[in-house]
Amino acid sequence: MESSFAHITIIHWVAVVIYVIATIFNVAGIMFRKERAVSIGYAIVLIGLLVHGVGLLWWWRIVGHGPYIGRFEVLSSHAWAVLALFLLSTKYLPRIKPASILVFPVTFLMIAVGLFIEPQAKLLPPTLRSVWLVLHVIFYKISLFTLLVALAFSLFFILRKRTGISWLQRLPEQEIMDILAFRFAGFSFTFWGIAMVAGSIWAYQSWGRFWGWDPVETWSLMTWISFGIYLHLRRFFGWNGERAAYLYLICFVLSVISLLFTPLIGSSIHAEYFK
Amino acid sequence: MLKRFFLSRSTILTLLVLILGAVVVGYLFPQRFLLSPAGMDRWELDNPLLAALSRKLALDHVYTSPWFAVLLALFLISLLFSSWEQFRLALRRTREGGGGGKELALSCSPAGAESIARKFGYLRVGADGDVVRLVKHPWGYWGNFLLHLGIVVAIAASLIILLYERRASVELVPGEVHAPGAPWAQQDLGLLAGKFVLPEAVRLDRVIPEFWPNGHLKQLTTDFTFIDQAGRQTPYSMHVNKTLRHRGIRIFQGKTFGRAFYVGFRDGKGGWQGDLLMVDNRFSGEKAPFKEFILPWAPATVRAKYYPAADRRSPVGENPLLVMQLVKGGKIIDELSLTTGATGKFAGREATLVETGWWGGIIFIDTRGMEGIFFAFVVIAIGGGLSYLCPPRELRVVRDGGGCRLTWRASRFAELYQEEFDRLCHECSVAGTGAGGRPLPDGSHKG
Repeated sequence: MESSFAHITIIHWVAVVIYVIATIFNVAGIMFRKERAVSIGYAIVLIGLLVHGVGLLWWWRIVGHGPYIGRFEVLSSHAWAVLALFLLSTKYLPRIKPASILVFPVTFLMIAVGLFIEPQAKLLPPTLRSVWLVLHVIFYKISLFTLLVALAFSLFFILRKRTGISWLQRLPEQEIMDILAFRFAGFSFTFWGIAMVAGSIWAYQSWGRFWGWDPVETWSLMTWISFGIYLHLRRFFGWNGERAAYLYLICFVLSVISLLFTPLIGSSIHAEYFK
Repeated sequence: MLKRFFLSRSTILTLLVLILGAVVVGYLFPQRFLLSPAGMDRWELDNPLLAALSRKLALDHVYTSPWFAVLLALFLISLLFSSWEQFRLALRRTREGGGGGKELALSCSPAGAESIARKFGYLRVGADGDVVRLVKHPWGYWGNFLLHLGIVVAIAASLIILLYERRASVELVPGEVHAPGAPWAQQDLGLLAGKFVLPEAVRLDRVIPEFWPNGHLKQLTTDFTFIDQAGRQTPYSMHVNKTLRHRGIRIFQGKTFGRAFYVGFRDGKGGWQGDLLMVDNRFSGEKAPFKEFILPWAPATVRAKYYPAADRRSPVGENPLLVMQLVKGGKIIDELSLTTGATGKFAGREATLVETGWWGGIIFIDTRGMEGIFFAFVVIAIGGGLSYLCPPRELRVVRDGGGCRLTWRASRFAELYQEEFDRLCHECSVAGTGAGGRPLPDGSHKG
C-alpha cells in the first residue's frame, strides 16, 4: 500500500510538472502572439491530463471507491475534471481559450495543495454508496469548471480596464468577455442548482431528510442565491461590465468557501468524510 | 396591479436579497433544532442582548418562523407569475419568433439559403408566402420557463414537506417492541402535521453492523417486523441507502446504533437492580465520548462508553469493554471497567455485566412532496441546459427579386453567434455566385 501511495504521489508530481510546462508555453504564446507556442501548450497539457488520469484511476483502484472523500483525491479529481471539461469545451467554444491563462495554473495548484495535504486512503462509509452522491459530486465539478471560466473573463475585464498591460489587449473584445462571463455564470447557477438538488435527494436516501440546514447546505444555498441575484441584476437591471465583474468576484469567493472550506466545519455532517 | 407588483424586477430582487439575508441570519444565530438545549442555554447566557433579539424575532428558529414562511410564499407567488410570463413568451416566440435582427441581401435563391441554413442546424418552423422562418434550437425558447418552473416546483415541494412532514425515530434493542402511540426517541413534525402514530407495532429483530478493519462503519443492516392488531407479522430487512415502504410510511435505517449493555447492580442487602445502558458506537480510541445516564438509585450521574475490544486498542472486536464512571460536580468519584460476565464494585454496589448486544435506530417518515424534489431536479436540469447551451437563433429568408434577404437574430448572447451568421452568409454568397448570381451591391447590411 505504502509503495503504491509513493507511486501515485510521483505520478501526480509528474503531472504537475507537465502542467507547469504547458502553462509556460500557453501563457507565453498568448502574451507574444505565438500560435505555435499555444498549440504546443495544449498538446503538453493533454499529455499531462493522461498522466494525471492514470494516477487518479490507480488511486481509485487502490482505495476501491471514487475520488470523493479524502481531500487529496477531491482536489486532484477537481483539477482533472476542470481541465478535461475545459479542453472539451474549447472544441465547441474556441472563444474561451484565453481562460486557459487561469485554468491551467489553477489545475496544477489544486493538485499540489492536495499532495501537500498528503494522500490518505479513506474507507467508504455506507452513506456514500449512492448514485445520487455521484451525480451530486459530478455536477459540483462541472460547476467548478464553469465558475473558473467566468472568473477568468471577469478578471480579464477588470484588469484590461484598470491596467495598461499590453498583452491583455490581445484577448477578445471587452463586450465578448463580459458576455462569456455572464453565460458561464449562468451555467454555474444551473449546475450548482442541479448539484444541490441531487445532494438533497442523496441526503433523503441516506439520512431520511432532504435538507437539514447543515453548514455546507446553508453555504451552498447562500452561494446559489447570490448567483441568482447576479444573473437577475445582469439580465433585468442592465448590470454589465466592471461592476458585474466585481459582483461576480464576490459570488466566486462564496462558491470557493462553499466548495472547499465549509465541508471542514466540525458541526457539518460532511466533516466526517473530509476530516 | 398585484401581478405587476409580483412581476416587478425590484420586487424579485428585494425578495432574493431578503431570503439571502434570512439564510445568513439563520447561519449566524444558533438554531434550536441544530443545538442541544444545554448549548442553547449557554449561548443565551453568554449573549443576553442577542438572545433577547433572537427570541423576539424568532431568529433562533428562522426556517420555521412565520416571517420566513411568508417570505418564501411571496417568493413563490412571484416565481409563479414569472413562470407564467415565461411560458407565454416561449409560446409566442415558438409561434412567431422575435423581432428585429441583422439583415443582409444576397443573390442566393431562398431555397439555396434554406438548404445551407439546414446544414448549420437550422430547422424550418414556418413559412408564409415568400417568407420562410428557420430556427436553430427552437426548444431553447423553453429553457427559461423550465428553469423557473423547476425552481417553483422545488420551493413548493419544500414548503409542503416543511408543513406536513411527520418524521420520528425509535431506538430499540433486539426483541423490543414499539407499540403504536408509544413515545418516540425523537420526532420532527411539520407546522401543520398532526400527531404521528404508526399503524402497527414494530419489533426490532437484529442489528448487524459491519466494520472496516480500522473500525469505521462499512454497512449497517437492521431486521425488524411489523405486527398488526391481529398478530400478523411482516418482516423486513434494510440497510443504509435502502429504504422501505409499509402502509404508506417510508422507513429508513437510523443513523444511530451502538452496544447495549445489560448491567446488574446488587446492593448490600442483596437487592437486585438491572439497567440497560445503550451506548453509541463512536470508536475513536481514548477520545471516545461518554454518554450520560440518570439511574434513579445512583447518587450521581453515571456516564459510560465502550471499547470494541478488551485491550482498548483494537478497533473491532466481539468482547467489548464497558467503562462506567460516577460523576458529581464534574469530578469522577468512581470508575469501573467490565467485560461480559465480569463483576466489580461501582457506586457502592456490586455490578455485573450480564449481557451485551447491538441496539439500533429506525426512522419512520410520513411525507408528501419528495416526488416534487425529484421532478424539480429533472426540470431544472433540462431548463438550465436549454437556456444556456441552446439559445435559439432565428433566420428569416425572404424572396427578394432573384435573390433573397436574410434576417438573423439570436435570442441571447448574439455576439457569440455572430460568426455563425457570417459563415452562413458567406456560404450563401458563394452558392449564389456559383449559380451565376452575384452578391447584391453593398450587401444592404443593416445589422
